[in-house]
Amino acid sequence: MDAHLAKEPRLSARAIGKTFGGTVALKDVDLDIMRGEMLALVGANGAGKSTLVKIICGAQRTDEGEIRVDGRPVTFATVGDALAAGIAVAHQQVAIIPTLTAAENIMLGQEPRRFGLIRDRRLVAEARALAQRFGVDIPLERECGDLGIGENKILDILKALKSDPSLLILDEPTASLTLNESRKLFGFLRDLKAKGLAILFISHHINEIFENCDRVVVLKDGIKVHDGAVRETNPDAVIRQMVGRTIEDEDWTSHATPGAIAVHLADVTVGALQVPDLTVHRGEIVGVAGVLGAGQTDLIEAMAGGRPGLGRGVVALNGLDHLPRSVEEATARGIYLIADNRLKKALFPGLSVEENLMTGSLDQTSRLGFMRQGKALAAARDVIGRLSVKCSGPAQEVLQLSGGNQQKVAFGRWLVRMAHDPAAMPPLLLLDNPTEGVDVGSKAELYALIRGFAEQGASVIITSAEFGEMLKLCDRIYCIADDKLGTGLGRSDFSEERLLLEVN
Amino acid sequence: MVATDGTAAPAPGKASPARIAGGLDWSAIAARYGTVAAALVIFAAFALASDRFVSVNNISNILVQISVLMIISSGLTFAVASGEFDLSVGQVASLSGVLVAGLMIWTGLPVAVAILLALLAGVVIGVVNGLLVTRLRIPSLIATLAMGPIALGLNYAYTKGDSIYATMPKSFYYIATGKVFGIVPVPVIIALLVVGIFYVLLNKTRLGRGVVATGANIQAARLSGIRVNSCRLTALALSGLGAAMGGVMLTARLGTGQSGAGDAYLLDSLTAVFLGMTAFKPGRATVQGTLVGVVIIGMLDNGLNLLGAPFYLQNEVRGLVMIAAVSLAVLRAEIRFF
Repeated sequence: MDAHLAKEPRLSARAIGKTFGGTVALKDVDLDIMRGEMLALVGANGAGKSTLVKIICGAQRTDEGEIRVDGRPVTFATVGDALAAGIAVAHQQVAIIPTLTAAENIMLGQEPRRFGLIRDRRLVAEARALAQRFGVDIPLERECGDLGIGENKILDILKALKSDPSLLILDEPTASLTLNESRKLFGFLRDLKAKGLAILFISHHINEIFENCDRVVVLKDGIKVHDGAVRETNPDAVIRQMVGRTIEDEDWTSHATPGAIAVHLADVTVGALQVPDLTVHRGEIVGVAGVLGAGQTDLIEAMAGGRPGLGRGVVALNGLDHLPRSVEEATARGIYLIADNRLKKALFPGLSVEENLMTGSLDQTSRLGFMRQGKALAAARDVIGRLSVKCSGPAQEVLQLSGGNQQKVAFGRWLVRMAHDPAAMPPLLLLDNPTEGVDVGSKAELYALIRGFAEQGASVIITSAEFGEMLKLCDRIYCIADDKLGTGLGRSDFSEERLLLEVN
Repeated sequence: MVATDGTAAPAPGKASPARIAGGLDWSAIAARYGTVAAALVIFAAFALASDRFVSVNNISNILVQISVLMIISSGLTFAVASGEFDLSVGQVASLSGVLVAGLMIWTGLPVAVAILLALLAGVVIGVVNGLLVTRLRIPSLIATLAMGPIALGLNYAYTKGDSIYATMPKSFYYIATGKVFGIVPVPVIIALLVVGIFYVLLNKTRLGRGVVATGANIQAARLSGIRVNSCRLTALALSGLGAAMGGVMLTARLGTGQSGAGDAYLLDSLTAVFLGMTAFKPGRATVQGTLVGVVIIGMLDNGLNLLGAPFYLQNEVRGLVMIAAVSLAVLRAEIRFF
């Protein structure tokens, strides 16, 4: 390899631009990756990381700019083209089949065959050769289901290495790994780096980037805002660049009623998450922040009776002294959940707006088992009007509505219930990522709605993938780190930087 | 996610409902009433092909022939609406059919008591199906598939495999052969009554709402506070009840208790429900849709008979109709299996 080639970036992207139907996803982004370098790509949700990666690995075409591999300009029409040029991706989701052995997984789709039959011994030999070449020491004859997640992740990367790439893209490889497994993975990645491989590393965990990567590139709203060696910056600075602004306080006022405690959990365990203390007053909006899958959904659903939790020390939950055993028990006490993943867990896509709205109050809108059709329709019309749900009428299928209007229907279900169940007031609202996939206008309406609930004495617990949203809405925020709910941050401690640091 | 033109767009000002309906117009109408149109086309085709098809006698004949299927399919509709299959309906119908005959002839019970006990047997099997699905968490496809041979075994144990021949009380035959005002067949009245009751149950009651919600999205239903397991169990119990009612009526029509009499109703009732899922409210099992499916099956059977088509053609047509119904629905993404 001559000296000139060694200095040439393995991959060089110039002035990349991409627009989706008027929304700018990437603008004028330059990116160089050298051989033997581990480059971290960071950015908040929607900053353009995945779009950039998709363009580099051929899954999406770029609108503007050019990509060079080893100095030669290339255009990728498909992922196969990029692979042929030496660019391989290991996706966040591990593509490992648990019932196959490690060797079979590594060779999946490229099994050595003779007369159409798989040559088992040859397969194991080839898998072993690959594993040895990259110094992987995993028992290849074991079924992957019996191996750990970390080992499966390494096998998944090994699969990507089968094509002998010169650039490896890793999309959040440590997202589901424990600390120990992550360390092992990074040991493996350092070996790959030493072999001259270029690695593009995408992660939300700022700390591991600073421990393991050489250089960090920060994207914000589709623009590259930072590009430099890890040594020359620090986590705080990178987070600030990701966020790019401090959160303005707007016209925030707390409506918390001092002393009137709606929720007090002490020493509760839900799944892997420990909750030493969680306190919410009447009229208060409290956030629970965590990285994706940190257990916030489990906690919220356990409070709504949707999943079991161990509560030795539940002191108060809107009048209950234990975690509800069923959603029914919870709703009878005015504890209402709006689940995340709207179409999967909150709504009935094939049913009408009216049917969706009534599902939370079937007992309240029926007499002797018969639905009171007139009452139901009136209630549906009332909610549609109050929340200004844009639909052709109560009979329209909820799937045909926009995301924001669907979410209003999910809120509306409990508005109907509240109107018919005054005994269970004031309510406790549990909102799990309530503005996911909702347009800006509807978001503002939903914020106003949530604030309105609090003003009328309801207590609200909310999680969101967008921390900025919680900073806007909440009176206090609890952060989850290492499977444990921390102490609540007060309004004066609020900043996106602080939240990102706390949940890492 | 599907967004239909004119509804998802945050159109400023007032969107007139008429315009929105106009935007959906043809594809929606075709989706809703295509199956009904198909029924009319089949009717017209047979009417043209055979001059005997459209006669008071023959129409009344068809209605009597499909009355058993109407009842069984209505019950099955409940199970499918709750998101579950019930593959035991055929053998449950057979079991209740021989039970009612045996209880009257061998045990000498009064007609009403015998009927009630036979219906109870169907409900019990339905409840067991429900318990298997909700308590042991066996997929209904498998639980009810296994319940079929169990019902068949009970059936053989009771009859020793023989048919039950003997003259039954006149009042029992009345169920299948009687006529009100000397013209309207009693079985048709009973079938329409049952269909009506199931329609009301599914559409106008809290139970029906719960069943439909559970079938549409069981997770969301659970998180909305609906007792999804009791909905599923009740739906399967009603499915068993429908099958039992059909079986009893079948025995009254045949005049004998035959061990395998109801078995064939499984495929027919499933076909009717799937056909029904392509009508009125595409993708949803509805009693009115199932009724259309039943009518289509009944007309095909009767029409092919009148035209002198070979007997095996009826089987071919049944299978083809089933495939057509399901593929239409799946292609239009109205039904998803598993």
